[in-house]
Amino acid sequence: MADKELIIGLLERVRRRLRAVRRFRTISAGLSLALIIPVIFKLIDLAVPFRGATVLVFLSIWGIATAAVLIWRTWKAQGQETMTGSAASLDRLAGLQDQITTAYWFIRHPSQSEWVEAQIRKTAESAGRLRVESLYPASTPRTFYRASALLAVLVILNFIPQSLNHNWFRLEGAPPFRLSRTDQAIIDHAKKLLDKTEAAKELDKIVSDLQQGKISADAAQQQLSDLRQQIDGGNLELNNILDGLTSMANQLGQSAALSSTAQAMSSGDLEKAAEEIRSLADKLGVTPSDVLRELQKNMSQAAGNSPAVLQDLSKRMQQAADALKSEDPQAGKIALDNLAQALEQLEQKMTGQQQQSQASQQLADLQNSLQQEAASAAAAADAQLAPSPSQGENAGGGGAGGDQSPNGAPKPGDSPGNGQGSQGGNSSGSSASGAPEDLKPGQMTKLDVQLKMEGLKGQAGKGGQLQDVEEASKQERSAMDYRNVPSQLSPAQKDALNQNRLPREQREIVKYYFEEIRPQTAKPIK
Amino acid sequence: MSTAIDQQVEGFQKQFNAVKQEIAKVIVGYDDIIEFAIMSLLASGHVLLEGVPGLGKTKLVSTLSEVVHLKFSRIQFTPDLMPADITGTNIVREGEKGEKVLEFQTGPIFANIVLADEVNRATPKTQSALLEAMEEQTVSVGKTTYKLEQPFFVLATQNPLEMEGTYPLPEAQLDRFFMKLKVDYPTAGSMSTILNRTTRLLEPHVNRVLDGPQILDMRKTVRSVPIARPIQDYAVRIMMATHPNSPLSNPLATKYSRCGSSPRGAQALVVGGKIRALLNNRVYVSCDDIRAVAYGALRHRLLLNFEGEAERIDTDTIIKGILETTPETN
Repeated sequence: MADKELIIGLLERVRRRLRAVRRFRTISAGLSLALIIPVIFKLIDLAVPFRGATVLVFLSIWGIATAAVLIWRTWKAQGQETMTGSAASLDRLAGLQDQITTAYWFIRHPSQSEWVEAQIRKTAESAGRLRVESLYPASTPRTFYRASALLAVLVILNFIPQSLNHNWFRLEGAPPFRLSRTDQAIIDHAKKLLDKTEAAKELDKIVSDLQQGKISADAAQQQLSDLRQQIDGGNLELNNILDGLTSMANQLGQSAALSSTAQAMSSGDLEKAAEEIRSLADKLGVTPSDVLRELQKNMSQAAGNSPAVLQDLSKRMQQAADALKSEDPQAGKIALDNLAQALEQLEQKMTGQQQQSQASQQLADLQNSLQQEAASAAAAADAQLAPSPSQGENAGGGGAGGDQSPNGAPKPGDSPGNGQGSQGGNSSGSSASGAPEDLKPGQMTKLDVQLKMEGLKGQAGKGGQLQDVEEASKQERSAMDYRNVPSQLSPAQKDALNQNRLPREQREIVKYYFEEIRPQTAKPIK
Repeated sequence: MSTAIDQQVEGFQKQFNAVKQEIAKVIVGYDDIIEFAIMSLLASGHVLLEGVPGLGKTKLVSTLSEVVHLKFSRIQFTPDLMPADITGTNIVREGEKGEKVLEFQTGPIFANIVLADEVNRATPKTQSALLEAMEEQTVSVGKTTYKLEQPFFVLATQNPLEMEGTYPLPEAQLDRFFMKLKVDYPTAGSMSTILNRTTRLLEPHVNRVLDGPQILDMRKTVRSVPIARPIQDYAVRIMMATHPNSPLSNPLATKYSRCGSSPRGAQALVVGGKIRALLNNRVYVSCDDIRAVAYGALRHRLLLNFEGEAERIDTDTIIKGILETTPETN
């Protein structure tokens, strides 16, 4: 009896082991296949970020489906490990030549035979020598490594530091409003210029609110406008400072000893001006008294004529003038050093304000960009609602049906689209759909064409009411008066900042247009 | 601790190996043939030896008969051999008082070991004289049936090359052979030994190591070895795989065989497996044992169809395919 129990016990252990191995393999294999889906989905998400809700729904469905399949497979495989199968497996691994299988069968089907008893006894002896752990070592299937690698890839993909990447492990998704790369670059630059100021925090909040859908694009533009006004408030002071410095420089320039200082101040290089003042202070002991008097006079007048924003500087300049008047070289030197220091502080203040000015310009660019994107979106929405391209072509064709002048120029009364014959008509007709992909280069406009006045035939719309616009809207009106602000930028920088943005899809058309209207003589023969 | 069963198994092995070693003194390089021949003797079966002339088939049989101390007779099958030449016949003899009496004169079949040399040269009528003797272990002459002395063991030989004037054994008779053994040419190493033993003045002498009662005891031992149902089912699956129309049929068998093995084939697999188990010091049969005897037990029971004959398919090829594809567990 003990022999039989020993064999049965061994087989039970083997069966449990086999079951555990099978479950592990099933789960590993299932995960190695199932994880491919979220990895692919995440790769797509990196290019075209999904919304948080989409990610949540996907992860939920994927998780439930994967768990259901794994549970089903595991449950289905539950009955596959039989004692007979375990015996066969054990025989195979231990090289027992069906000894365990035979013994188990005879245990289940008892027979009064000495041979059978001998067989069971011998099998029990063999079973006692077997070590299940060494016969079935804990091995890791290849699918487990594949599943681990896929999981690692998924984790890495989620933690890639990229602006468009959103971490699924924190259930993050793309914000309702997605900033373009250009917009993001502008924002980053503006933040760098504003550098931990209140305005930078304000900008962060606006962008965050916009991305999270708390505010609309219009509201964001309005808030950016307000922020710009807030930043530009400092620029008014900068302009006053520059004006004041210019007037002070004019006054100081009347003195030969201060001419270089005045020149530096008028050009805005206050560091150089401070150096000049310090140099003057060093030479104060050997400076003739008439020169000192002239210095004192000009400095006193410059201090007196300075604007309020340069109060500190004028005060120091007045102190310096007073010290020069006392003809005390030591006191004069101290006062001039203080003046130089004041100039340096002013220089720092101006630099900060210039950065704010640049940041303001960046915000203006951001505003424009958001506006253009909103316009593009609106145009795309209109294009969907507009008549189909065939209808657009018919409209153009109708234009082509009008009378044409011998040189192809439109006659008065023709629609704008038919000016260049049928091709022009088609072009116009296509563009009537408003979709960017319908914009195709038409017949070029030649410089030798004499433009004529045309009457435009309007199309009556449904509803709406007439409105006379007499002036620009308040929104479009400038918030500050025009001032002649001397730019600190080089010509190349100005060109870079002043260039108008062309929508990408229209760049080729514009280029083509200018190439075509080039005079014929200069055009190479193809 | 040695039990009675262990002693029985040990005794069986000793006796088997003793016979084998004695035969190996004369027959060189055919260990497996010798083993299967003894196996057939112990399985109460008969053996058909097939091989070209001069390979020592007859010598093997005669040596076996010398070793086992049994009555041996040899029948040289020829086209003019008559059934009575095998079984014996009633002859008229004058009695003591001068009366005429019929007396049965036993033929060469009345021996323990019968060598049917070139069995395919006799006519089917004469070949069929062996049928009853091989299966029923009896000989009927006239109205009288004579029981053959046990053990009765027929070893037939046939030459596969010279087919002119021969009568291939019918399927029914082939099926009565427990095994069909193919005797191939010996290896170069074995040839050297054969020449050393057969070209000198003194030929090797064999001892008688087994007698009839011992063989009968060994036969009982063989039948006592248990076989579990899963192993027996494996033997059945192999046998069923030889049938072209069976659901368990092997593709090769389906394509090339006309008729598969009879249940005698499965019996041969199991009994052969039991002997092999004992020889390997086991008291149970394994799938390896079944596989080891499969070629000898099935090759003459598998009949090729026209396609198989035309493509000269060897039945061993089909059996090999069956053994490779038949699963051990159901």
